[in-house]
Amino acid sequence: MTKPIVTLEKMSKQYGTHVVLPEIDLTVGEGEVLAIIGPSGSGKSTLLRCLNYIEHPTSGVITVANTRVEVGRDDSTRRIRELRKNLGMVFQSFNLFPHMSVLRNITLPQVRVLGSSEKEAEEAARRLLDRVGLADKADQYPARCSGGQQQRIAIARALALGPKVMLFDEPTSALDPELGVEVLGVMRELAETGMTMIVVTHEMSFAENVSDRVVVMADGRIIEQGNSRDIIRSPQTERGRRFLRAVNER
Amino acid sequence: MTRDYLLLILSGIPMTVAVTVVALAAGMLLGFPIMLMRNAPWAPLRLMTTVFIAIVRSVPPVVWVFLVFFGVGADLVDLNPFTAAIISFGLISAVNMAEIYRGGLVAIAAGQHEAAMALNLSRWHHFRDVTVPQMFIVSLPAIATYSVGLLKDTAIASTIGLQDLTFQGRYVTEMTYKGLEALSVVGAAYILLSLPIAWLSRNLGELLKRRIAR
Repeated sequence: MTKPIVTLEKMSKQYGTHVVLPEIDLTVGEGEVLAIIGPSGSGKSTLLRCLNYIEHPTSGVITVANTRVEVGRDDSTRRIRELRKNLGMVFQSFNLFPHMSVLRNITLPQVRVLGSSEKEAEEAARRLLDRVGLADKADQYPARCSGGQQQRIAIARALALGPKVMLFDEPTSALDPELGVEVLGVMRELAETGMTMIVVTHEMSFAENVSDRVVVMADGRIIEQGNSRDIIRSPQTERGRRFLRAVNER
Repeated sequence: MTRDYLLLILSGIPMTVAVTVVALAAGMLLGFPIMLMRNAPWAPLRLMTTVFIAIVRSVPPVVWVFLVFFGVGADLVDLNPFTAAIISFGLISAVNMAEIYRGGLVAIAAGQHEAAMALNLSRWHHFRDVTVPQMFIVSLPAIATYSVGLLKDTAIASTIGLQDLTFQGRYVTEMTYKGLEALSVVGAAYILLSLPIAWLSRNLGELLKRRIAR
């Protein structure tokens, strides 16, 4: 593996007494594309959301690039914002801001977070929209765009902040298959540029063909991980086999 | 009903409109900090505000108007009917606006806040750029509905001598003994005043929903 860029050490998450993630350890190398698969409720999304502190993890240590955050000890708002600076996130439900034009969705965070000028932000936004094939949508409102378009805009919005790692939380699950293909295409291109990506997904062909490594989760634990093709084609654990059989037989 | 009497009744319209508009504007402005206090992290402030809102809302508007005009106005400071009406209805609409805003706040999808966090917006920008504008948009139909109610409620101020639509209607009734005609004109005028607001509320809601719906 290349130099690690994301490291989780014994990261856990519980709601009251309900343990969602018992101490997870995970390392992602620079430029690596990691797919996390597994049944619903296995904690895949929670893992991603704890990693960028959208949900507050219960314990552990999170390291992204040069920022090391110890949960509960060294996780002030300032430290968390430093952590998030290197993490872009794309959601299942896109979460574009509905009251802003597509262009404003992409320029606003740049102006607010990076301190870019409006002009710089707009140039970057138009460049990114062009890259995801939506240059003509700049002045539309999100509601006037299809789901696939909205998700590509959301990717552009996250990329505009120059993250080192992109997190994708089931980016195609809310889309019908044809629209999902547009989004997967953009993600594949992104992977080719060397972006580090952690993708929670049910798209097995993406996991097999685009990701470098697959992690299989069940009941909050990583039950299996390794080279994508090996894991998808011949999982070693009984639970992993059961899950992949169920996915493939659909 | 002669033309002069008709015009006399209608001459109350500017006063009715003025009280409604000023009280609504005051309510929209003051409702915002009240809503913030109602949601404050500090429990005592939250409790105090909750009680304050409950008290203002539980007392009938007519009692508020009397309390301000005959109570505060007579004993403490000199208030004319217009000022007393603005204070009363401004207060009442402020707490109602606070509750409308609070509902608007709750209606914002959780994903909006998650996106704001993931994009690393500061708490202030998160609030200013993401939360507040959406709260207002979601609240607009409810605000329009409330303002129709407020328009009609202001008739109460005629009892303290505010020369509004209702006051003029009663005045003409007393002069002509033609209550049915005079007060029908008054009723029709209220309907005509409400129509544009009702139209706005319905269409604003649709327009914004279309824009915001996924």
